[in-house]
Amino acid sequence: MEKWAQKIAFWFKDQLQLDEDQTEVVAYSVTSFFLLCANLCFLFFVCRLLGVVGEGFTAALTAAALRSVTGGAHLSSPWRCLIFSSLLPASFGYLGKQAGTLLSPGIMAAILFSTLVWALLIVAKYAPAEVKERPIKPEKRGFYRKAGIIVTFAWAVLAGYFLFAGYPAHFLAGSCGFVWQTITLTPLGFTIYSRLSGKK
Amino acid sequence: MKRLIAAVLFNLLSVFALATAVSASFISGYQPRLPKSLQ
Repeated sequence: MEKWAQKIAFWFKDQLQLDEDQTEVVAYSVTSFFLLCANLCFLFFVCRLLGVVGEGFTAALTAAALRSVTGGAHLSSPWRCLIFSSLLPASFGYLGKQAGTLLSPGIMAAILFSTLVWALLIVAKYAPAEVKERPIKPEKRGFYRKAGIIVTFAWAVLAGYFLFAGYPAHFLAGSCGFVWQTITLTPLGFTIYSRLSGKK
Repeated sequence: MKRLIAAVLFNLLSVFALATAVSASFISGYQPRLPKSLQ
């Protein structure tokens, strides 16, 4: 994927006489854009197969919202990411659809509360979790941590709405997505992603 | 014409790159290396 992006970036460089920095930005942007589109398409395809488009996208978007401000572990290649980032939210969506209607409101409320407490603890301790490809300046760390806490409270409000407005499947899928994202902030999450990336 | 299209796309891609650079991480499971000029 990055080779294609480089080729496209060189086309822009030839057309607009860009310098090295600008060409690098174009290559980065093209890679990110392709990755985003491919992820959404593949996620839609898998969720459609399982009949959980709404629930799967709820899980993926919930995790993405927290990830954008807290960072987290990443996989080593776009293809691994494509597979993992589609299968996992789709499975959460499936779980939400199957189990959402079986659990009592009391258990759901307990899930909401325990997820909120867990996420606040993890975000306060580990966020932002940076990777070498995307370093975070020390002076920005406090900002991202506070943003993570705000997103966590915003998630709790929205999840509460989903729960009490009669969308238990979406609530459960979103909660799984949220917990998954908090795990990617922890050393255990980095170990899991490292193993999934084929590293020892 | 080709140059004009390239210029418009270049601006759109730059805005997209800036938008992703503001966040702490790319939202999917793979993080492309952020260019130095955006760090």
